[in-house]
Amino acid sequence: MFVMKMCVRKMALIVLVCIFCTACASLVENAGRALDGSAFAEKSLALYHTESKKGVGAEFLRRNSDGLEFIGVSLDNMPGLRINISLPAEDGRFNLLWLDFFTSHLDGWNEFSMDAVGGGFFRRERDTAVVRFEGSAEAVAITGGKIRRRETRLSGEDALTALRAREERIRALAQWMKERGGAPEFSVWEDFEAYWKPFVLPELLPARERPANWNTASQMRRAEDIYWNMDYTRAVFPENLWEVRDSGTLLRDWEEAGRWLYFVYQWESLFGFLAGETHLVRIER
Amino acid sequence: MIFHLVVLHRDMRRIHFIAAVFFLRLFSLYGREVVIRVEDGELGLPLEGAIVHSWDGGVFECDEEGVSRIEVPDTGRVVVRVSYPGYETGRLVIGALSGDEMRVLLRLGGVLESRELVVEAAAPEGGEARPGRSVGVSGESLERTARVGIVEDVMSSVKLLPGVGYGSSFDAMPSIRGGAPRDIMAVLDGFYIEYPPYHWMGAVSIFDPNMVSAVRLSHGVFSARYGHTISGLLEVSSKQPPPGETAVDVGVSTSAATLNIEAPLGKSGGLLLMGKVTYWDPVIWAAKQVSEDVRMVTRAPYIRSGAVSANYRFTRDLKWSLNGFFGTDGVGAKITEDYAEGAAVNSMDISLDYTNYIGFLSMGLVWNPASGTVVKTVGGVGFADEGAEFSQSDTGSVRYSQDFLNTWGSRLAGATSYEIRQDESMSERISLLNYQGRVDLDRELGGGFLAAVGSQVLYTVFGAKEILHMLGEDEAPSQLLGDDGLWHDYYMGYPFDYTLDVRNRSLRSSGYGLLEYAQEGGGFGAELGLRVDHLRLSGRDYTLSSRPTLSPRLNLDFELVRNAGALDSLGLTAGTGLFSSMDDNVVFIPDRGGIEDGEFRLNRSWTSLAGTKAEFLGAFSLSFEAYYKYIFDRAYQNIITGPGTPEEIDFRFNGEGRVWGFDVMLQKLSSRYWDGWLSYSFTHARYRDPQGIARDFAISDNAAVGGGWYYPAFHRFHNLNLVVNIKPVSSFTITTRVGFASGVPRKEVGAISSRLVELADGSLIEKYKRREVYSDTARGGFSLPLDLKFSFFSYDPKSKVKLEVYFAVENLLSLVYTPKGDRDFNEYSGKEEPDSENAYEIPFPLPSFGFKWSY
Repeated sequence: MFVMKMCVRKMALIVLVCIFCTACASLVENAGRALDGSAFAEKSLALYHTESKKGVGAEFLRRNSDGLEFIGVSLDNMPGLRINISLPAEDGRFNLLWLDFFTSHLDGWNEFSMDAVGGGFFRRERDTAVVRFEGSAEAVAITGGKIRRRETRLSGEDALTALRAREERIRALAQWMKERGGAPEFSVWEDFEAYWKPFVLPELLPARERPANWNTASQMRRAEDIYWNMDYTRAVFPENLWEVRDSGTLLRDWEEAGRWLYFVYQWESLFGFLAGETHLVRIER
Repeated sequence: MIFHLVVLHRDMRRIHFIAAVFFLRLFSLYGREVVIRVEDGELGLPLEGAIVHSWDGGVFECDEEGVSRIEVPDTGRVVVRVSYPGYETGRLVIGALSGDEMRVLLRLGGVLESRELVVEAAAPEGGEARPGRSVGVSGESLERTARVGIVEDVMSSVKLLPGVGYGSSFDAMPSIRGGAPRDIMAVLDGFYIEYPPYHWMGAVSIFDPNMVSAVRLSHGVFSARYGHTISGLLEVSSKQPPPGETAVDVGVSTSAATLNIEAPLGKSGGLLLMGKVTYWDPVIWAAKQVSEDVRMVTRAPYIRSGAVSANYRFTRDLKWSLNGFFGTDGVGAKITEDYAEGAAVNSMDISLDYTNYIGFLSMGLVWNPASGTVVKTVGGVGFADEGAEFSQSDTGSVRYSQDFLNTWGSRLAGATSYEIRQDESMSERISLLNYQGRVDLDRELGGGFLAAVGSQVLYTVFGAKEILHMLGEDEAPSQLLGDDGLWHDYYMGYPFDYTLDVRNRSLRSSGYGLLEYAQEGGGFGAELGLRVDHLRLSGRDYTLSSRPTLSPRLNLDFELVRNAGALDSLGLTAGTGLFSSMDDNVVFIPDRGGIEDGEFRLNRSWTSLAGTKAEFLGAFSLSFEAYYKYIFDRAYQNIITGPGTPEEIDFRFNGEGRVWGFDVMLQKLSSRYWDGWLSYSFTHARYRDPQGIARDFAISDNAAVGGGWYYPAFHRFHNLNLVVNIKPVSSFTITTRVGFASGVPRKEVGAISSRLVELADGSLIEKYKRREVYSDTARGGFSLPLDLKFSFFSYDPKSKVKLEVYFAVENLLSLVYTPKGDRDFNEYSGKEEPDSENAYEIPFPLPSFGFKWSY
């Protein structure tokens, strides 16, 4: 009985600490958003979501700076992504306006807006809505964003340059992954990471888990405190990724923007999923 | 026929006109013209000949201005591609809301950018540390070493650097390369913090890691730009909130809460606000359960502080900055204790009340009037107000010991006990108001040369009120014949009343000029400078002026090897220079006293050093520096008092010092799995007060040795620090700090023995004394501080908020070892107090636990 009481007390303490942490994190987030103005940048007008918990959401928003009204479409299995579309015309047709993407990591985060082209249909009833994208969207270019890594924060042109450079590397890596083939379908980032990490960053794995073509006698180069197998790089990766991998930059991209890579990799299947009709119901708040 | 042809021609013209009007009208309804301007992304140059591939398949070539015009529909969004040989293809979306002119920046293509575009943190060794001049800590190293313990303090990091002597766990006033701890001068972004920047009488500094980005300790031959110290200059760089950025940091721990907010200040500025509140009551309560010593604390030590930092860039060439700080701290203690002495019961009542306020506000401008020219100005005002009240009262009756009666019985008229009515008290209030300003001009001369000149004024008003009442006891110059037929030493007791009430003003003026040379591509560098300082001190009825002190300084840097195998670089440095500072105590000079004309001086030192630094394997650095420092014109004071003599403090300005030593540091630069450093410093410091008066009753330790050479009270021969950060996984860090410091000087003590004390009223009492004699060889126990911190980091992929949870223990080795000093004893009973032998350290580990959220 005493042991049980102790267990209950410990569990209660853990729950209290978790609530405390979550509450404080929320407080800090709201304070930060209020200070940087993002909390007041948009006003939510209405929110729709699929009836299933893990699905698609669509939020009618008004941008306070210029009064632009649009719809932000989000997917629960791609956190950080918001696809912004125009309000539907009378015939229900909408244009894809831009994408907002946010990805966080232990040392900071990347966030950016990207112009994109595409379209579809959105039909809204009083308490329901249906959304359907037409074909795959086309990403155009990152138009703005911010980066934070530890105490270093970039915005404006500095951030844009770094984000576009990172996007190029991510696109090149995603393209290599696609061309390599043989990968299963992924529904979450964790599965994607578990599958690709042994191919992309075998140096981070124990020796027995490395690919069969791994040669320990290869020429090595030290970067980011890791000895990179240059022969493996040349045998497996296209030339435009050699320097990126051997310099440790690929590792940094993986650690700091892995979910961004996952997003780019999943682009077609994501819009393929949205090409079907998605039924939404209004969420009262 | 001709008529018909003419009519037809007219009709055709009309048709053409109508058609043209129709299509023009149609076009104005359907689309608009957009100007596309194509430029090189890095150089901003127009790219003539760039090809714009329009949304409708049209291809347009840019003119010499890099401009092309295309038509786009009014509704919907179209994608336009832009290409240029050698450049990556650019794309842009033109929508209904896009303007009529758009710019496309193309970047050179073909190679994926790698490292140079990965965001990098500040260099780990940071702080612009320069061999031969300074050591520094910034970025992650500062974060890890300063954010440990129940009070997060930047000085926790500084104390681990080579050349810094260990004080104790709660001593943020270290000796720098054998210099007096109070000689260290702190500068925040160019503003000199006149009053020592400490809380709790020097236990911790005012510099919270939340307000500091880097700290540099200059203890070598540093630039002639800086002065007002002969041992160490602590240059603290405040966090400069970047324009347009927002950050929120909240920390909650078992002993303190901190809040840091960074917000944009207009379009080109940033604002940082920091606040800290400690709440030590639970810690003190817990400590009281395990330590007798802590039970006297009535008001838990507290700190309330806030800081502001702001900057704004008016133009590309003009930047304004502001720093402000206000802090208060205090502590209260009271001991009321009844203790039995034989049949009598005595009472002891001690109370302490300490409060301190410190604040400053400074502003600076950085202006680039022309290419290669920088003008910097800093001005501000600072204040401090420190007050302490202390009183002790002993009352009761004490029985003479039998041995005492056997020796002095015939003089006691049959009495077997005596009454104690001993009250001692101290009341002190020190205030300071400081105004200062400086201007610096740097000018590049070309060919690797840079010239700089500058001037500074520090004007300070000091106020000090001190009332000291205590019992002075000096050994009598003669002996008394006891009942045992032997001659015995005895003491003469007298009331020691000292009152100080001064309001002094100091004006320090400085100027410098220097020439720097840096060979292009490295190889050789030099700096030659001359600094002039002057001090004018005036009191109620006196004025003292020092002679202008000239401080020439020379530094030479040689890079011997670069990129030779595993050796990335190997450099040599050598320097020599003179330094000066105002001694802290001279501001308390109440009157001119016996200070002769021309005798009043600034403290001086002549420092020479040579060192080397090697960096290898891209990850390690090893540095070695050896130095010799001759200190002269050092101020010291003699307390002149005794039975029937009015109390007087006599200032002298001919103190000397000889310090030599060396520092070694092996550093593993910040890395993915582990980093840290090992530093060792050997210091040999001997001081001399030529006109010092040797006496038993002395306020200053130094005065006890007369005119001979002595090791100052803060001196330690050996200081070793090991800092290791281990990161087994990215979300978990173990930070360890372990140190070894040999003991500080300790007086040789004799046995505790009974003495006769003749009080001023002629009564005779028995008191126990222990003869204490200065010794060159006696040392206290060594110190072994060990701190551990475990940090866990977490984040939510959908949120910008990071969480750090940490658990730390300071002074962990106190569980098995604490340095020992001499035991105190009761001067009326002669009994030793067993709990009083721990020296320098808090005798128990200090755990702390906290959270930190960062947006």
